[in-house]
Amino acid sequence: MKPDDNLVLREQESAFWGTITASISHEMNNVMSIINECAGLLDDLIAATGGEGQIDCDKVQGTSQNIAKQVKRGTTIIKRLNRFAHSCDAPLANVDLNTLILEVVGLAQRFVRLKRVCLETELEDADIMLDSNAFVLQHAIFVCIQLSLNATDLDQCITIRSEKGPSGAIVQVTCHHRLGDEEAKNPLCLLALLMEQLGGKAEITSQDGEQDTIVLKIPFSTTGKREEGDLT
Amino acid sequence: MQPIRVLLVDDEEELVSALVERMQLRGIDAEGLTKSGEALRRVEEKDFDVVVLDVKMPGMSGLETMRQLKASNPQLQFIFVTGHGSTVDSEEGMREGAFVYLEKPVSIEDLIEYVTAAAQHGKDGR
Repeated sequence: MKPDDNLVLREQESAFWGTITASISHEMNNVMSIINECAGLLDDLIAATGGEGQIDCDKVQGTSQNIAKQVKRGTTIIKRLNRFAHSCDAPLANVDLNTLILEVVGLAQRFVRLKRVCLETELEDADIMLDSNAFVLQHAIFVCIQLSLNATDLDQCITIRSEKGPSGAIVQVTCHHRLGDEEAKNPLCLLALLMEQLGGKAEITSQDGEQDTIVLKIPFSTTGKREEGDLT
Repeated sequence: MQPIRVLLVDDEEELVSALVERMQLRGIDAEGLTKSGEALRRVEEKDFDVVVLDVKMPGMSGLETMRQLKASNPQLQFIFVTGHGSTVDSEEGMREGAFVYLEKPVSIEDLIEYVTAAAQHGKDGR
């Protein structure tokens, strides 16, 4: 890896952090806004009775359920952010690839929703345990999702598959379009650098010249010798 | 006097329903929708004074929704509601004629005040 590549990786690592935390804080702001309005509505409903008469119990119950729903949503978001933050704790950790994919899918949900596409997973039934850098691996999967989002139209689906190969794990991210050559150039360079860090590699395959799949080949252990042909 | 007619559009369903109810309790003729495409159809069916739009919405953004609605309803007034960090689109909206943009969470009193002012602004411009 060249010194320039290291600089690019550090910059992109910060950008990834920024993208994720900005998105999560935006989601949390929405959660807080809903709780704020629901609490305000409860006050309004009480005030509307003027201290007398009957309060609409169904409405109060519905509003209170909405608050509980948002608290649950907020808790999920915060836990996800916490796990993401702790993925930087160690440069090498024993992680389940399927769990990690689902974490990244959760982190990407807002981008997926805004683009109005669906993101589906077809994961290997058994756990795929890796000794890998969890943060870099999440970053690589996220770049694949971003690339696919850029190439996907409204109401279409992006599929993420995981598979256990004989000498490593394979992640395939398929979108139903070709990745734009120009738009994809820089993210694909970044993806190559990230995969190099993990001792693996990224490839693009095309089906019928109409849809592209990004294939990540990840060794079971990044401490192993990295050589061409190490992965199948 | 006819109540102010407001259309609220935000993809957060619970936010829309609570805000609509709170506005109705304050004498505003408010309706809510969660999809920007539906807003285009609803404005065809009914006259509104003010549209309150979330900036970031799935599919068509608040800014694009305003552009399309404004093209066919130049008298319609727009208020953008945004999460923090999305002010670039809101400022663009202001340049294109939105009445004001507000950051979430919005105080209901502020919202009513701006809705009233925006409706008056629309009437003055007619």
